[in-house]
Amino acid sequence: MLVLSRKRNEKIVIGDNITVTVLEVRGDQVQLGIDAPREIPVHRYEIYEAIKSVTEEAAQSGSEVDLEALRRLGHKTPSKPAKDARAQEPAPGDEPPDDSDPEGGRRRRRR
Amino acid sequence: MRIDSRRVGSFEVRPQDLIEFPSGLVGLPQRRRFVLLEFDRDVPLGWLQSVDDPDFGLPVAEPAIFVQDYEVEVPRGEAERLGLERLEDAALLIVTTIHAGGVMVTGNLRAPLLVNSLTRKGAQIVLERPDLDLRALVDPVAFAAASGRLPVEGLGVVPAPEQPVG
Repeated sequence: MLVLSRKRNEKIVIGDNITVTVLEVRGDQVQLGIDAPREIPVHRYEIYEAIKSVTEEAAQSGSEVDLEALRRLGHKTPSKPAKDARAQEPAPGDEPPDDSDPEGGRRRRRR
Repeated sequence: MRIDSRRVGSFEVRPQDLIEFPSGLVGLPQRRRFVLLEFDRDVPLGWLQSVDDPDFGLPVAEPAIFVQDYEVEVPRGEAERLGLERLEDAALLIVTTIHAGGVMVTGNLRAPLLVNSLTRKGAQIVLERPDLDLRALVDPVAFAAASGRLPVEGLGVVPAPEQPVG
């Protein structure tokens, strides 16, 4: 990894059209200003990684789908047509998925 | 062009059905061309099938099966990149995960897929909204109410080729 030391208001250039400016340094927090062409997406690393893994998880989840279970989630069973979905109980077996917070670090770091 | 996928079988994709993500998805830039397939007649999901990688596809859904009032602010740069000039040309799809085979569904409300239905170009946008969950739980009532349709304005859904995706 290339390591550079910069002071406040100093910049680095990446390629010909990306500049990163150190705007403010306060304690262990650094505020950066990034100028990049529109086609270059810029994300905080944590959210980028979290979104990528959720997308991979989604792609994986499509491989072994129990269609009957999925239809029951919509309260649609052959024996019990969901004419009035609101009146019906949620399908049995519903359980919340893993809700680990991929953004914990990010939230702490913002502001 | 033809897709030969272990999951959705073998079928012909018409050029006008392609949806192009010029930058791919966030963190996954390689796959750029997709086609939106029907998932199952009784389930309000779609299947976003990669044309570049026949073995890659994603369940997707309309935001309303998760939340009723999903309003997002499209970053101006993204709108410009997609040539999006009118709100009514914008279609939003939520990347959806089917848990434990089918007992629960979650959606990534933080990073929806924004598609210009006129140009059929799209991007996964990252919203500056820490309140939006990457694994938002489905609303079963809304899921039931939406069963059998994937109403994505203007995008059109290609019927599943032979058998349902699942």
